Amino acid sequence: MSGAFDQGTIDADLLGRLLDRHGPALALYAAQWTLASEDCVQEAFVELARQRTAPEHVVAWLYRVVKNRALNAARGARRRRDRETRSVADRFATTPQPAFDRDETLDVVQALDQLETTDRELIVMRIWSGLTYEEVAAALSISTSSAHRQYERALEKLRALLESPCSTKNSRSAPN
Amino acid sequence: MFNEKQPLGAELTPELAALQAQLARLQPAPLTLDRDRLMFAAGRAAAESEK
Repeated sequence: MSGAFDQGTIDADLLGRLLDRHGPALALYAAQWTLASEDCVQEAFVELARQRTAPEHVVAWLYRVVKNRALNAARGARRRRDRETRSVADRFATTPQPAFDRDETLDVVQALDQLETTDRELIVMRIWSGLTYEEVAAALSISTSSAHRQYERALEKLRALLESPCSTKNSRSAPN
Repeated sequence: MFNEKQPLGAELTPELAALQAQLARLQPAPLTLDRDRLMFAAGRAAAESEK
C-alpha cells in the first residue's frame, strides 16, 4: 500500500498522494503527544520536500519525523508552562479536530488511551495508515518480527479492554 | 511465522482479525490544514534545498 512511495524523487504529486493517504493517521498519531498535531504533520511534509530523494521507507520516515516534532512540541508547551492536564483520551476525543468521525467510537478511543504508547503507535500505523510490518519496524527502530509480535499483543490488550465490562466506561463516568 | 506479503489481518487469529476489521472501519478525521499553504511551503523548501 505505502510501498508505492518508497523509491524515487519527491515531487508535488507524491506529496499530495502521501498527504491524502496518510495525513489523517499521522495527525492522529501526533495527537498522542500534542494538540498541535496538524502542525507536526505539515512540518514533516515540508521536511520531506527538502529531501533530494525519497527515504527508503518514506511513510515510516514521516512517522518518525512527526513523532519527533510532536515530542518537541510537547516539551515546548511544558517549557512555556502551558501544561496539559488532559489525558490522551481527551486529546483523541475532544481536540478541535476530533480524531474520529463518529461519536460511537468513544469506547475504542478510551480503550486506546489505556494502552501503552508503543502499542497505540503500532495500532495507528498498521490500521489507519496500512503500514507493513517492515515499515512499522523502520518507524519504531525495532525488528520486523518484534513489530509483528508487539502488534498482536497490542490488539490482544485492546480486545481485553473492550471486553472488560467497566474498564472504559468507568473512566468516562468518573466524578469530577 | 507471518508472511510480510500477506494482507492486513491474514496472519491473526479470527478474534483479533475481527477486532482489526472493526477498528479499520473507523476513520481518522480529515485534516483541516491549508493544503495549498502546505504545498507552497513544501515547494519553497524543495527549491531551497536545490540551491
